Amino acid sequence: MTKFNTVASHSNVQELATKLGLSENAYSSALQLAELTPGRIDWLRYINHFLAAIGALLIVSGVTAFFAWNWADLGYMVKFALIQAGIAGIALLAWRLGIDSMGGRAALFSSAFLVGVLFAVFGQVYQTGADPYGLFVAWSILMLPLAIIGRQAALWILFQTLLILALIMYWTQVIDPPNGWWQLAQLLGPLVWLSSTLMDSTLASLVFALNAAALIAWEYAVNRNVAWVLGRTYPRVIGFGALSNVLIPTVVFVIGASFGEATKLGVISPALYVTASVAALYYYQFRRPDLLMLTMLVFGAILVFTTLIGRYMPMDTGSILMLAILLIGQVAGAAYWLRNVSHQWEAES
Amino acid sequence: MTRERVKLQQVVDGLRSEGLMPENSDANVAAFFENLHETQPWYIRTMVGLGAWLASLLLIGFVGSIGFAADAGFVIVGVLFIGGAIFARMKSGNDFVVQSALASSLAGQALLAYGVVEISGGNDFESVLSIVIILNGILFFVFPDRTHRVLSILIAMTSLGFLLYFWKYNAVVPIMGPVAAAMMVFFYKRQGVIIESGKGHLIRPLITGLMLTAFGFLLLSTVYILPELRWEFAFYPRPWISTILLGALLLYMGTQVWPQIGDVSGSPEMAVFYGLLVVITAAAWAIPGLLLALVVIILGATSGNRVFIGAGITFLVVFIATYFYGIQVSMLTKSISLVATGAAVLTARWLLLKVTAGHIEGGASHA
Repeated sequence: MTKFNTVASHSNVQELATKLGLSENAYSSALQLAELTPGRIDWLRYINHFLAAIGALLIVSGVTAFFAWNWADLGYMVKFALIQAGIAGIALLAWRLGIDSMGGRAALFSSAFLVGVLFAVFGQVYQTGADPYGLFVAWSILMLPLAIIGRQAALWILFQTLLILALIMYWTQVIDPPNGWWQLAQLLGPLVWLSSTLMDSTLASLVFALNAAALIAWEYAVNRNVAWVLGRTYPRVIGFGALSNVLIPTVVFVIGASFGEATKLGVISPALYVTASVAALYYYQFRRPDLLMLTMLVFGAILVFTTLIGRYMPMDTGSILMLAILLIGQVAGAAYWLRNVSHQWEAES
Repeated sequence: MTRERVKLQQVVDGLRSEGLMPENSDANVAAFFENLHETQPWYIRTMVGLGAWLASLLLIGFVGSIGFAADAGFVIVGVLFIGGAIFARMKSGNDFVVQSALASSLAGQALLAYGVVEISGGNDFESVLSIVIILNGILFFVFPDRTHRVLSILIAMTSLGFLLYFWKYNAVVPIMGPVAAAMMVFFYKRQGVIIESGKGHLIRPLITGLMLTAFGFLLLSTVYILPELRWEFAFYPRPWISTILLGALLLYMGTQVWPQIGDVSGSPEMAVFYGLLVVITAAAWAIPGLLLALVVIILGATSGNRVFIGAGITFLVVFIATYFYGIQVSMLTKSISLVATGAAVLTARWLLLKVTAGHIEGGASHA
């Protein structure tokens, strides 16, 4: 898209008016020329769509609050009936709206999500004694057909998340149950606990392998020109996850090593990080141009390099200043390089 | 069928043909389009911003580790940081300089406030907040950066909120959100005048800052204090005050919308329209945030401002989520309020489309 094809929006018309010092009358005309001031039909469309959406949102929230109010008192048959009716109703809605429409996609995703809620309630009612990883395995198996039918990134991201949760649960409940500060992390909430699982290089590497495999499979499908995988949301989200799985343990490994602490972190994380980063930098610069992926990779490299330098510097006041200057230089250099790469792609296209 | 959207170049051409462009504006137009093209994608700006913030933390660590013989040293360094940031930002629009200047200014404010606290013996809370308010009031005009200006308003208004609690003026808090919202509407409607006066660069941060301030104050109305804590502190006494004030603002917004969709003033349809707004206000008695969300969405819709429309919808969702978990009323009361308001909104939609259908060809199909 060239600069002259930029679509008029409220913000860029306002900016244009400010830069040119337009009169009040001219600014008002500019908004009208950009068709940003709605007419009668537009207002009716707004009223039709917005008020319907807001009203529906409020009523659904109110109904949810009603069930939350007396959930404990509801019989288990009523609970199952409610959730199963929800799954069936929403799936029906997806079919009626068409699974490729915006509403249909949202409905299909909600249906896949409610499958997990059903399993959770099942475990709550019958107290089966099964390990929680079983919930995520069963959930992922049952939602897989929906993901295949739905052909949308959000459903596949949910599927991938469930696989990762199942792996983490299996590892921490069966293979290597947590101890010490891991148990404390568990008390601080699910997010803190999940992040703390990255402090075990073996587990983090397995999660990385799962993400990397999914990313490679997706990019392979992109290369085969499969139409519904051409959006970049899935590879970027999974790519960010895969990078975090090796970047965070690497940074902590570098910092932790300087304090001589015995941790579950090993050289496998830095080794995987370096290998994956080099491969991804090559792929996303030369094979499938993706500036966002390159930005993530470069920023990761800056973090690791700065941490490494910080570790070997003497611990004094001058070092802090040196680190600040080094960081400023690296980020400025990275921004310059990314801009050049972007211009190069533009010139080649 | 989707309508093809107007290009910015077509707007410029249209203004030219209507003779509304200032004289000798060709160079400015060219520069404007060039800058549009040069803007970095958001993720590179995010990376640069994160780098700048990390660097500023290291700089604060450096200043802190040097230490000063007198506490005034922190004040002096703080002022230097702020002054240096303003100077750097005036001289360059480079992404890294922009973010570094932002971080340095905030670091400078933190050092300045710390120095003042230390000099005053660590107990002059009011003075620190007052200094922060005055300082940000000045920086809003002086610091040539949009993000900093938004932050200046937020920091100043947050400090004002803390001062109100400190002075035990909790009763004033429910007025703050609606006042910020009213100011936002006032300045939004006067954008053209402000741009014509040459202060157009202030308008967007001003209205954005006021919108976020209003959101923040209204979210306080959902704060829930566990009864077990036995803490007799009213964060947001009498939230219905906010509902009434925001209801009045919603009625004002109605006066902007009705001429667009309705018939002549004084008609029965107009009475129905305003009656519906009053019913929505009454139904949202315990949910003032809903009215603020509606005001912001309508304000955005009046000029195709997608950022405002999106912000209003996002705030609505966030407010309902916090309302669900917060506020010291039972789930049953929450359920009744939400369903009643939802029903009122849907009824309003149905009636509005019905009463306006007569004026517009094909309008009945909407209802």
